[in-house]
Amino acid sequence: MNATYLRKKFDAGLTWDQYLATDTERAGNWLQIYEQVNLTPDQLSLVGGFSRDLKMLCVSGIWCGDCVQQGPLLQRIAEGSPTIDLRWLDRDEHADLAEQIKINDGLRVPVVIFMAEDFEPVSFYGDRTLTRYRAIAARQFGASCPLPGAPVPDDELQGTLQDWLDEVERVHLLLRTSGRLRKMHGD
Amino acid sequence: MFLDADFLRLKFGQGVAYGDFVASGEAEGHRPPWDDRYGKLALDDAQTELVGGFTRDMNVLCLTGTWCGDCALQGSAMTRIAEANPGRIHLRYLPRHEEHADLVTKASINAGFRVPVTWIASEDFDTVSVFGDRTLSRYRSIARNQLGDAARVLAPPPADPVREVLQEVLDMFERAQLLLRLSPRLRQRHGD
Repeated sequence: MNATYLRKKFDAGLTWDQYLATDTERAGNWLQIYEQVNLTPDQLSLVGGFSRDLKMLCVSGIWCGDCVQQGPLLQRIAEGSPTIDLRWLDRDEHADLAEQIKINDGLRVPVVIFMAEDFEPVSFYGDRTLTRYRAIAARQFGASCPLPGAPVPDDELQGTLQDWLDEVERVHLLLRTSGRLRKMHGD
Repeated sequence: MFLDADFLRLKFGQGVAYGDFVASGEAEGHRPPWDDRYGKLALDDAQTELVGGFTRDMNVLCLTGTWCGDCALQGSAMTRIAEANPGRIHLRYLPRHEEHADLVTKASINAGFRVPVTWIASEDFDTVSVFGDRTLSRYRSIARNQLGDAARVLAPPPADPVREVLQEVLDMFERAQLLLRLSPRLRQRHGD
């Protein structure tokens, strides 16, 4: 999975609005979580100060409960930063990519592919964050894929948002301190 | 960076245990940082209890270098974690040498062959997570040192930077363990 391939996939990706428009009936669940969560002023200050372009490609399913409950958090993070470009791809429409990012032998989603400005791969993260796994385990090994419209406690949502933000910050700092990119940008 | 299970099993089989890996760098004087980090990274009681409760087998392969400071830090942390549950956590190290170019070329990060890169896999070597090269706290520290105010790092420095990395690595292992523990495929196999 090289930069040329990832650029092609990224270019095929949809914006948030375009992605939700692919299924207006299910989009309501996504928007419900989107309205429930927001970045704190500190979190906004952090991502607002990013200076390296960062490409994020989220392989997702609009029907998927884990995507419903985490995708809007990614969108909030991207909206807070001038340098994050986030796109969405349907897993089943891009089976060639999905096959290459199987987790535990399953076509799990969401999986986010983090890339540099020239689409060099930096990190892959999915399907759930630690906060989300702890919450699900605490519910005593309930349904492995939650219902898309099921309510999510605020603290679980905020913890999951922070988990994703930590990975975004890590990737950004990797790019910001990269010798290759510092030379390219003279900074 | 995701690896086919057969390939990961093959490379894991070529890996070496911590003691042998650290010894391989002794002649070049690479050993002291590893011993120093290992000495500082004993798990506390809560961490020991957490790892001791892991019930799913995890195969962990770390592509690394004896000369690399971040590898000594993460590698020692992973070793301490694995030692807390040797029946479930199986950890091997591979050097970033030409003889493992087949793996190195699949582990490119930002167009570079950085280390460490760690794959955590299920009992049958299906990839669960891939992580590299540095943790967030290490990147924050490097950005502060290299860029000063331009780094715009908002989080305060950790009280103990070495043990902070242990916690970050432990979080990575806990997440993978929970993924495996909750996996319908593995729950069906193990009847739990």
